[in-house]
Amino acid sequence: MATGLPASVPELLRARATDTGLAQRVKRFGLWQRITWSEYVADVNAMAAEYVALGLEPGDRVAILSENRPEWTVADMATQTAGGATVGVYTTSSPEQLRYYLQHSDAVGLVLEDAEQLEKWLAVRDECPAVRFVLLVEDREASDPAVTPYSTALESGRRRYLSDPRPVDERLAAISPEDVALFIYTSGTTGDPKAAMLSHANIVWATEALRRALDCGPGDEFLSFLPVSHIVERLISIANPIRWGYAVSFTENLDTVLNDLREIRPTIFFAVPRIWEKLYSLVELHMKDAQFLKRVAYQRAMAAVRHARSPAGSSAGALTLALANLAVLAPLRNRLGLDRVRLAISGAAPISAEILAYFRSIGVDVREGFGLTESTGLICLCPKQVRLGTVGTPFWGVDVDIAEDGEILSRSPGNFLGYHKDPQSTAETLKDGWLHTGDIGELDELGHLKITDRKKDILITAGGKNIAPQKIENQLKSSVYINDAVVLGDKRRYLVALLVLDEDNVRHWAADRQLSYSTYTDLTQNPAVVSLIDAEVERVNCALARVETVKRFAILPKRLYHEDGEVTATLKVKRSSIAERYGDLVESLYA
Amino acid sequence: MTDGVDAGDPKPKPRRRGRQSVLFRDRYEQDLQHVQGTAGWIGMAIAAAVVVALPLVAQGYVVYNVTLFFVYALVALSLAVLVGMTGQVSLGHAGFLAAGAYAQAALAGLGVPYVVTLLAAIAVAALLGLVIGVPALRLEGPYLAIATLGFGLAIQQILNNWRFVGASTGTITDRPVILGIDFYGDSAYYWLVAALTALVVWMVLNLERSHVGRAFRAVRDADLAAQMSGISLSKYKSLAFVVSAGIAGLAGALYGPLIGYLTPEGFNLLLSIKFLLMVVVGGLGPLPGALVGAGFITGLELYISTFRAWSQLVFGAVVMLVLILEPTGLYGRWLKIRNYWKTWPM
Repeated sequence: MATGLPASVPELLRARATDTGLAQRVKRFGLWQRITWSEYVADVNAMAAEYVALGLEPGDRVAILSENRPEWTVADMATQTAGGATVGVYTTSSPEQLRYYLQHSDAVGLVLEDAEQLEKWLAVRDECPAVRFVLLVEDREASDPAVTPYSTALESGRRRYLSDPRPVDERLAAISPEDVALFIYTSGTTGDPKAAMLSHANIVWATEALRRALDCGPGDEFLSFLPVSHIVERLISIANPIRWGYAVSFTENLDTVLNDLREIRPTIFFAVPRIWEKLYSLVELHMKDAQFLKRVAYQRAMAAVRHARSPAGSSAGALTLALANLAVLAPLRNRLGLDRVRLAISGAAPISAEILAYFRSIGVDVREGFGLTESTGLICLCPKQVRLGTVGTPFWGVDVDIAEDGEILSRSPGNFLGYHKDPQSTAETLKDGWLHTGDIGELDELGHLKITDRKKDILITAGGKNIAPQKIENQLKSSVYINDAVVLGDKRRYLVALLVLDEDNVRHWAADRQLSYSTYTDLTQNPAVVSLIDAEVERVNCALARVETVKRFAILPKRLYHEDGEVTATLKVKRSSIAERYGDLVESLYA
Repeated sequence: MTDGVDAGDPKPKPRRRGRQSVLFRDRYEQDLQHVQGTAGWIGMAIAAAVVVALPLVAQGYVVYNVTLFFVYALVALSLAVLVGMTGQVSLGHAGFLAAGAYAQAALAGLGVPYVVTLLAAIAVAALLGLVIGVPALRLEGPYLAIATLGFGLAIQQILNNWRFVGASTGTITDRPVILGIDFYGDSAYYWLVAALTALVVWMVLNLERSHVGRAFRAVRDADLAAQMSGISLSKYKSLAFVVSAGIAGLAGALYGPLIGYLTPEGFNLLLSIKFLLMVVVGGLGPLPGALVGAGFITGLELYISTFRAWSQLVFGAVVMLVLILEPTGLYGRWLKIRNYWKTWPM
């Protein structure tokens, strides 16, 4: 099936060498600056030439520790062009985690963004002798003799490539589709992160599958702000645009995303559930504080949508809906920068149906996707007609099956090569070409996949009931005041929940009521806040079966940090780590 | 092998998906444009058409009063530069207006060509601005207000006693003839004043966005910090006085031929206060506020003259009401309303 596809993404990029169209935008000094495809290709060639000169051999790894920016994409594509594989390191990683990635991947090169990331490298460099060259992108910020400024390397590479392009061109020509292109470290909600190795063929297939599902192409706009170390963001903001030729804009930083969204007005928008939840609570809270006319208009519009979607919807309802769309919903989408979005996708973690339903009602059809790093990020995606509660149908080339124990299995050209230095885990995950996803689910009558839970997260209460905590957690998280939830209760009489406040919203709520508190911890213990959360939990409980209800809960006294090992770099809660760390708190809930 | 979801056309075609956001910037020039977007240009065109066509449709007294509004708008603009942009108060702007008016009238009486009298009026007023501006460097707030008030009274006294310009009886002024074109008629003179006002508005808008305008605002907001950043306080404070006085001088030169007869009593303290009211009621800071304020005060005066003996009381009450209800001025209120709809519905 994979016949007829291009060999690799670096080769596709090379084909754009004379394309003067817009490839990337980056915001500097308040202005969006354009980078054309030909400039992009020239930089990649130069950097690849420098890598070769610095001693990068085919199959070697280069690690990149940086926020999303054009230099990231250049460093990445140059590594692949020179025959190597790229290791993306999350910028929130601690020095200790950086050391682990560098040692585990045997990286020979490292590209650092700025002084902050340089600090981390300096702390562990004695333990990583394999790293032969280190480049620093923002070199004005710090200087260290062992570190080469990125711009110097690029200039030197440019001269090398001009004088003799052969070393790079030979490497590029020698790339076989089965070569490793990327090391993607799985977020590792359990144990040490594992490095999934993805081949050029995996990635080229993924771009083909995305195109068939999403119909993306020139003229599309994409805003890149989630870490490109994650497979899906990497596909959508690096590989896929190279294949299909759409423009990618890089945000200045995470705080400017909302502004950047309004300026770029992307046509393709990919976000993790956390971002969708944030957008939702942003609108809801704004509307609670809005002046009378705005608040009433919004409430009326939402009521009109609900009415039109309900079975009682009439032609008069359709007219009201059109009016609501024109007067309220379209301006609202405009304000959010989502007015041009054709393809809104949520992925990387499960999203609650309530959030999906909300965005659908304001006219943004968010399509939930499902995939694993090990499947090159893609398994299923909701088609245009979203069926709430399912993650849709398989991508082009993907076979999905359900094992006897309910585990979702997938077989596709995207299935990875294996885990680096871990044949045992590879064998457990990949059996006879079938990827064992570790998720429990079922296929409905139309072939839509429905995910119930992570296999290892299923709880069995003392009463013998199987309970999927994820569903309950998602419903809790759909509250604007709750950011994260961990539901526990394995072998216990009832379920309890550990909750993390949505700090912004709860602080705002507290300020409105003039509650006094000193620290965040103090806020979590405020009786009024506890009763607010209690009401939210009760609201969720109403919609749950009796055995699924959360009988008691505790608000965690601190924020969760990646550095503390409590959440993954993609902000997924590490349940086992939380349950262990707050064991006493959990015990007190059963006392 | 299952079929992909929504299998698409395998060959991508470029397509346009709507226009770029108005917030999008990839050149600094985009921020410098006075008129932004199609809607802005349409609004400009309509405003220009109304201004040009007014004498063709309106009666003579309307044309006369709108011309007077343009003159007042120029003075209000000059105060916007001084008070709004640079933060220096002036209670003596009637003095600069008088200086411009009398300079123009006196030179015209000597047979000097009109264009030269206009430039001379600007120069005389600007020079006076420099004379008052330099000592004013050491003064701020109420002290500066008193000093400029003294200047206004002094000018009035000088004119009252200066025989050459007619002393207390005043002097007659004539509408000009430029390059053989007679501006005697109300409509013709209206067009002349309108064109010059538009020119000054454009120049002041350019001044505001230039480094000089930014220096003015820096001096207003934090003079110490401005000084630390290399902005010479004495230079920019006196420059603001010179520019402001020059514009007021031009207004004066247009004012004389409009009303036809100048007397020192016409340039009293009340007039200076009225000018200050215009910028405050219109909204201190943004330039359009001065125009709005000038329009509001001119219109209000015309309207309340029907109240006869009570007119000053009503005038005071309305101004107080405006300031109590909207401290940011009429233009400030407009900005709030515009922002309300711009952010609709959130």
